[in-house]
Amino acid sequence: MRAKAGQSVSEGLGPQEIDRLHVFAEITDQTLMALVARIERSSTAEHLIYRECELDEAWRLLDSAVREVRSQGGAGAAEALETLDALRPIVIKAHDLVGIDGDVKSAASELRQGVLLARKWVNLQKR
Amino acid sequence: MLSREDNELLVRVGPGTPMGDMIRRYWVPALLSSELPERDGTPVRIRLFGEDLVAFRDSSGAIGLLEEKCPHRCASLALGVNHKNGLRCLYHGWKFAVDGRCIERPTEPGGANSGHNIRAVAYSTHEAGGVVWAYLGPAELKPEFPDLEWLGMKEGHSVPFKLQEDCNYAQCVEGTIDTAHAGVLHREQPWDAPAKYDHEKDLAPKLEVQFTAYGMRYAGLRKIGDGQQHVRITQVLLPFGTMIPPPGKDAPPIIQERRLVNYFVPRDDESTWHIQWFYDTTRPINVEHRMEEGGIWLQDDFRKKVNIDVWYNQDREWMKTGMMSGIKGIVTQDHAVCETQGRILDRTKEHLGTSDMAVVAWRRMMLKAARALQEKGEAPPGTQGGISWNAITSETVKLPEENSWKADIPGVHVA
Ligand code: FES
Ligand SMILES: [Fe+2]
Repeated sequence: MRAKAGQSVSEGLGPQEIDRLHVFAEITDQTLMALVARIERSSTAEHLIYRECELDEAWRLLDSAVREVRSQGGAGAAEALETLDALRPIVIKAHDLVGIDGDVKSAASELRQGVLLARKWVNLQKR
Repeated sequence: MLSREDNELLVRVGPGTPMGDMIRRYWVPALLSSELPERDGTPVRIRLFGEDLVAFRDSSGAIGLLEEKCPHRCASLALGVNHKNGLRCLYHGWKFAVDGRCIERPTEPGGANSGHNIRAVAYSTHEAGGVVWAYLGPAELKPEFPDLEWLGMKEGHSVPFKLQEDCNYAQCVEGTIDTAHAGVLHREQPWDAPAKYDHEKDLAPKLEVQFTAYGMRYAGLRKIGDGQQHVRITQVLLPFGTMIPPPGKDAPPIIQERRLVNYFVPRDDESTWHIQWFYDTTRPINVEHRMEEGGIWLQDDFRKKVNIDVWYNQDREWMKTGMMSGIKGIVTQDHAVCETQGRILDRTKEHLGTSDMAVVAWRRMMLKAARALQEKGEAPPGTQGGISWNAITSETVKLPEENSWKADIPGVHVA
């Protein structure tokens, strides 16, 4: 079942689970919420490295989505690009808050701001 | 991905830079002992951390490491006469001891050996493991010399090698804490042919990291069937040392127990001294075999004969029939990929994957240590004494899948 934006997805996220990298293949509202939950639960230096890598991966996926939309063009391209372009600085900011400042609280709330954009991106792809 | 500011902070190591200050707080390998084979022999010019220096072995065997330019009027001291416990500048004959004191000024009235306090910039040195180590930081903050496990071994069981790598030190370090590339870059058959070794079969090992008081260690974990996992534990010694685990029981006997240590000592921001030791408690290192295996064919100045100018002599036919890289020698293969990243890698342009986790962890440690020193005057990790250097080792083992490597192979100085 799809979790609603803002709803906690961190229940059942044990210490084992955050002490490793989360593997995901696309940017959706759900993946971002899962990342938010993981960031919130992180406390050790190792956790921060795993979270930074997850955000690196999110950024990489966004970047390739942008390239793909650009190369395909089409009717919805402008709106899709606008959505992705709005999402990218959020992911980069969350990445730097984790990596540079180790500030999980600010990183989580930053990334949470991207959840609705990610849902919009998911819906745009369905059209 | 790093921000532009972080990338700059990581790669710039000249005098007065935050990273330069940080790495100067460690003992670092500087040159091979064999470059200074005899007392009163030829001085050696050496660039370290962007500083031009001269090394010489005096009449007593002590090693001096001085700023290359004479404090008088800046001629190169490397031209000088090395005799009777000092290096005499060729221009006006001022003579300097290994500690930098000016002990003679023959062109001044009466030789003027006293009543002045002229000194050449001089750094501390220490010989160990066939290498001259140097400390380029503030004298009063010099840490204890680390008694690392490969430094006090039986003759022939630990052998140093040195070569120049033509790019920034950070990308060289990142190349050796990148477990995933082994099965690709060093693949001993064409890409489409069936893989030979475990690390070629499973290209995506799971990585786990653990920070320590001297740096970190991380494990590459591969499931190998029968409920077993193959575990390779690499140690990272701040600032730029990496201890690579032995190939293990599946490899040819000559290298099964052979461990490797790399130090990537910045020559300047755009080139690096790659100093490595191979060591093996069970048998002496076969030097000829290693030179061939590594592709270590060097000019007198330690630069590779097979370099970027000849495009590493890459052989396109061999790539189809034999070796994936088409490049002879493991070291040449490694240098080829790092050097072609550019002299200084722009990390704002990367797209990292999950296999780059150890790389991310090392960068963060380096950046954190440089900032902590710059902003709070905090001594970098491992420079305050109390480290059991000798107990730090790399490891290759097989463990039951459900076991944790951190528990089964306990580290030292783990947080
Ligand atoms: S320049 Fe060296 S003694 Fe004058
Ligand atoms: Fe390699």
